[in-house]
Amino acid sequence: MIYIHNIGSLNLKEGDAFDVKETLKKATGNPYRRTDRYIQMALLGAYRTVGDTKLEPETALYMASGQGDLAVFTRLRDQQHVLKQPPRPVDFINSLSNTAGFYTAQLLNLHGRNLNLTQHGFVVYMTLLLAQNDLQTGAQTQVLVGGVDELLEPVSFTRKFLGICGDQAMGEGSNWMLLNSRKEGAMASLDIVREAMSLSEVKSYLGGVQKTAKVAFGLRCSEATASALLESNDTERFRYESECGFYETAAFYALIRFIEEGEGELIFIEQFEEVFRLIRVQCLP
Amino acid sequence: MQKKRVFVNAYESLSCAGNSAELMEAVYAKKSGITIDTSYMPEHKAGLGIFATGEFFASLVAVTQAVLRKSGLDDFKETLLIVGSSVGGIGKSEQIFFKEQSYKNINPKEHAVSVISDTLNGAFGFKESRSISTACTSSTNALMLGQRLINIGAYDNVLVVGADALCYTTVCGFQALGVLSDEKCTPFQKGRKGMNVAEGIAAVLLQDRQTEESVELCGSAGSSDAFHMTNPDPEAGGAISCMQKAIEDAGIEPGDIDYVNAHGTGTPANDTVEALAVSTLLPHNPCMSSTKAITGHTLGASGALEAVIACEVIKRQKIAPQASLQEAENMNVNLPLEAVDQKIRYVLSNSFAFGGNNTALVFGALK
Repeated sequence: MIYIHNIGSLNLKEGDAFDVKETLKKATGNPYRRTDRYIQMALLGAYRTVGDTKLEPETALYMASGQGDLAVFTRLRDQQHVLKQPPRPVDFINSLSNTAGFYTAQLLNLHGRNLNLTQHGFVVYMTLLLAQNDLQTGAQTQVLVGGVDELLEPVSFTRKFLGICGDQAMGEGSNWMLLNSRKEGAMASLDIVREAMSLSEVKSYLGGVQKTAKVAFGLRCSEATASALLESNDTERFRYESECGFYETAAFYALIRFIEEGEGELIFIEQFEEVFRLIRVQCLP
Repeated sequence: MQKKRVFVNAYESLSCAGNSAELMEAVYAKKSGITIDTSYMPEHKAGLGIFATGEFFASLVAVTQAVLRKSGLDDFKETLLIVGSSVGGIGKSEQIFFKEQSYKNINPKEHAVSVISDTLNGAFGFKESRSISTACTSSTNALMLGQRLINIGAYDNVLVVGADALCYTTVCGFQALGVLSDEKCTPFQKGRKGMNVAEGIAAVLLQDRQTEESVELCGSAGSSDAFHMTNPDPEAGGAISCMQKAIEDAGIEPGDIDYVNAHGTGTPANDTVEALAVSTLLPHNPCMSSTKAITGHTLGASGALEAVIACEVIKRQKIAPQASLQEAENMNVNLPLEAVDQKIRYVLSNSFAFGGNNTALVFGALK
């Protein structure tokens, strides 16, 4: 078992007016002039999680994203082939996939392992599983994990990139958790169920959980699938979807929202294609 | 928890120096695969490592197929795929944009880092796949992740694929940063001019079972300088930290390292700091060389490509010489000018990325 000690969130829906850079500057006192919005989102989410608390310098940093910093790619292409200029060094640097991780480590004075996982489907699950593995084997003593995804204009570009249909509201976010193996002082425990499951296996699994547990579904999971999974048991559903447009790492937001409510157990079910994976969170008194 | 041991049981690679067998011939003969090229930047010469074998994604499948043949496995259906790449499919997107001057027909799924795992999944049907993108440490971190997952018994077979193709973004981007050499790179040389960007593919099969041909992946660790986005910590704190922790993870002492396959890009900043790190942590002065003088810097693929070289060095009990070296900047490191036949138990392989993202691996001969 591993434990969640801090949580922090930035969650925005399509059309929300929110100045990430200004908010970050007010929070940290640093204008972060060479960074772009994606990096600023990472910094703000991480800062909201940790604040001015000094973390152990060896704390590892694992960052997840469905698409990475996609905006910088379009800037680089425009510089080269519309403006007929060489890439701006600052944009090339910001295009490197570990740049947001670097700035986050620098902000929090972290010197441990620093990873970035980018993929469609299960990227939150995989990042949490990596953290769980490393904490359980003692490879790490503490891990700051987070997910960052930025919604680009036009929204249809991001929608196409993620393979999301037109009626799904889109969003963006930067949601983080501080994890370690100590129960003392923790907000919640976290258990990443290792096995991938089919629909019928999830049904069977849910049949064996305590009836007091709640169930939530990832945003790639259809209402029909959710209903099918819940039809044979009376487990209560935890709903967060109305607060959250689609982004690949929104699962972090769902887990954080549940922990903020402060009690009970959540079984979070992620789906990608025909495969299901489960994350369990138990709030602690 | 008792950690399971992790073995490298099959591998193949493709770089500007050829396949794995051709690469090792080139390494020992100090024959660079770099060419001086102006195709990406007509107004600037740059040393680049380019395949002569055509389409990148076809090569990716062919390299992976070669590992399957060598592995003794029937297929990869029970194998986890972990891809390490820094640019993914950006090259494909560039081709479309350059032709049409529009983003309209760019296929976003082919743009992402996961295009590599998607391609390989389509060809081989892996059990699962993951993609790691941390610039030049991508496939080294993928190897570290694979090692950890086998350590805890989560998987028996993990195929790590490091793959990066050349594209305008990387070539022109590194040129804009002023770190590209217009000649073949000269790692650790006094007055060196910079690095050569290159394309590369390397596939390394990690398993929990030992064979007669196995090399053990016995240690790994990562660290973060958190010092500067493009310059390493001049005191080498992050580099020393990750090398030291990888050695500890392997359960050995620094004095047990017999050879260091350096990150050694040929940039002034990297090589100065890496030489300081190695001379500080390894005062017994083991041989060190950078094979990027032969392959160029294959970015996200370099960790896996250099893992192949580390395994070959152990199997052949023959240290890779430092090519293209006339006069070393740091005389406190042991850069062999010719191949050295000696007993090799442990090899340390370093990878360092922008942002001070450091990863080190330790490979060991079977006891």
